[in-house]
Amino acid sequence: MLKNTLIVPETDSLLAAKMIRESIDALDVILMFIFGKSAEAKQAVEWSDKLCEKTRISEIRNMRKVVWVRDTEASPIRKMLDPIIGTGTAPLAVVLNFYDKKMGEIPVGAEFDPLILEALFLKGHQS
Amino acid sequence: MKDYRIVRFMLFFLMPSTGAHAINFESILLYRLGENDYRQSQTDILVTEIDEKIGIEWNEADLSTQLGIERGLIAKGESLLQRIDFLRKVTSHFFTANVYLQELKAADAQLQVERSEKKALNKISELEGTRDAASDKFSREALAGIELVKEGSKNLDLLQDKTLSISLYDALNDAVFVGYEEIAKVTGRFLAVEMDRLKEELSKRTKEGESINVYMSAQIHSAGTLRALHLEGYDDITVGLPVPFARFQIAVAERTKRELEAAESLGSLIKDGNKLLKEVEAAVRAVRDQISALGKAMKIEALDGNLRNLEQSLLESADTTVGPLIEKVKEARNRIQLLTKAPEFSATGDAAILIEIAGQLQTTVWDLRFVAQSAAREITSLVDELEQRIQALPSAISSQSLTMLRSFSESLKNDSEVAQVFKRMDEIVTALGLSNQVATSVLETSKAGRIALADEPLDTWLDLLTAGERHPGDMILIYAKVTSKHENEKEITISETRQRIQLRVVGFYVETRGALFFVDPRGGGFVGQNFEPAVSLSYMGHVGSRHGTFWNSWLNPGLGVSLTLLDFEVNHDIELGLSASLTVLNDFLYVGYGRNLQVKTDFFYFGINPLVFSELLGQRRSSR
Repeated sequence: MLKNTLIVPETDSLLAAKMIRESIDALDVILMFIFGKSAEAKQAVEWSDKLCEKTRISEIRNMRKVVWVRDTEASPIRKMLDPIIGTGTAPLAVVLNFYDKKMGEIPVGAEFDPLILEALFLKGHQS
Repeated sequence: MKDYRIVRFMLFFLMPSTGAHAINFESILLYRLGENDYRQSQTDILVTEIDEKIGIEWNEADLSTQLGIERGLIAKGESLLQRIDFLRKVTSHFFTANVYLQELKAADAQLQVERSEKKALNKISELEGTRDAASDKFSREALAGIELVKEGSKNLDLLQDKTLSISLYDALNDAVFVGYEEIAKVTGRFLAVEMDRLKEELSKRTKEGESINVYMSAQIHSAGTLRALHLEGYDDITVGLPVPFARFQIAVAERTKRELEAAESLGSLIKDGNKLLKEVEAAVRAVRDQISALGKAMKIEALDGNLRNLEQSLLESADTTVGPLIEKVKEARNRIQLLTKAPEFSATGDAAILIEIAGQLQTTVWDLRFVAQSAAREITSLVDELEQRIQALPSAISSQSLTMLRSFSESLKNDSEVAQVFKRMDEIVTALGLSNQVATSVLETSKAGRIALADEPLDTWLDLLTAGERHPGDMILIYAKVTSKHENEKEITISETRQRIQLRVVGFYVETRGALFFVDPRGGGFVGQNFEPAVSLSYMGHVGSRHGTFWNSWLNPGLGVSLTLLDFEVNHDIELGLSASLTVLNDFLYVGYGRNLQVKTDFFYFGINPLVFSELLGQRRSSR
């Protein structure tokens, strides 16, 4: 079960865009965006969700969060994402720091494992 | 004097020592004081609470590595050492990252509380800054560890054992879900495996019958005396029940008793300097006479002549194996010569010098006893060896000479005359009332060896609660020594170090102190009674600071009341003075104003703590 992941809906792109916006606007959170529906993306979500546990402070407070965006092509979603990832193909994962600044990414097709994902999260801890 | 006691012994390694500072203890010894850790430092004085438990941890990985390199058993570039170094660094990064993560969580929790309470923007901004700094620190430390692991897994020379590199990486990929404490534990486990390999490797390369020993001892230096303390696993000193420091001490402590005794002695010296000068001079003469008596009792002149003849005949013998025997004879001669030398004392009327001489006399008597006992042991050992070799060296060892030496050896074992001489010397110096207790108590310290790299950790602790009487400002001295020993050979010190830890009390506390006041009556007809010495008991209140080293260790002002035994008038048997006292320098200097309750006269005074005074003299002596 995913405890720290927001799964953005595929069927309602307007709602998806709104949820992404709200996630970005949330204060004091390091966001890990995972893009796509591939097996790699599913694996990255599962691992990243577990990696969030070590920064849990209480039942309701965790400074790390995962946002899984399965559909990256819908126009309202791109409008939200383009300022972060640019106009090209979405990478596998991107991390934003407390101030919504992109701090690192894992491109599609690159090898990754829990340590590499943790390292990406750690980049998000920097200002 | 107790001998070093080896509690465990294991075959290990040895090569010739290159000096006593070969090991860098700063990276090996760690002191845990409360919630803080401090590295070993010869020069810095650490500070701890008076009831604290002091943890002492050895970095055995570093100790083994340094020893292996120092003893020439392992080359600096060997892959085993590189792997250990690599794992140490990785473990250290993850361990520190875990500490920083806890700081980050605390900072974030505080920020969330302030946000929920809608505090002022500048307050929020300040907390954000704290949180960001903690987050950044955590990130950089953890990333450094992960980058090192990634780099290490690529480096085939570094990770020659591929099984290790793969399994370490896999293990870390599992541990990273749990947290940084778990990651540090995993790397620590891999480090332990490599350490076992290093031990095994070093054991293979060492000579049989050789060992490396680690010795540790702890002492408390309090008011001029040294007392041995128990270090778990290193000695068998009995510990008392845990007793917290009494913040309001009304009972007269042992230190206070010593201070009162010293004040009385010093007061007598000052009141009647000429009489005491004569007593000290007489004591010096008496000790010299006893040294002469010792020479006669031990038949030193005849013995020396006998040994001289023996040395000569051994030198003239054609036997080439007598070299060590000649050395032994020479050593015995040198030793007994020391027993004939009386020390030079230049007595003057100065009270300080008199106290110093009294202390020196005590030390001299102690030294003489030690030398006499050593000489007796050496002569006995020499006789045993001569008896074994008399058949092989009939021309060099005459039976007459051997008989005389044997008779001397026997007489030393049973002779009460020598014991009587020392008893008389003790009586002479004890009569002076002042002694150098430090010199003797140092030798009471029990010391035990532990084998470096044995299975049991070298870590230990010292519980101050069970350390007996202790006071703010007292110093704990921790000694550590690493030695090498081959069976049948002398133990060689590879390296040694010392750490000083000062005790402190934070907040208000009251202690009893003994002092010598110089009292000046105010008013009345007390002509000729200017600043007469008087013994005083004081109850002094102090306030210890958490951060002020200068305040606690040096200035440490005190305010309190003093009871003084006065003697303003001859027609009063008891005159008690009650006064207000102000002290500085850890109750070394006193000043105050009070009233003689019986004579009903005020008095002004200044005073000193004589124990601190004689301690300073003791330090001056030991620094020569």
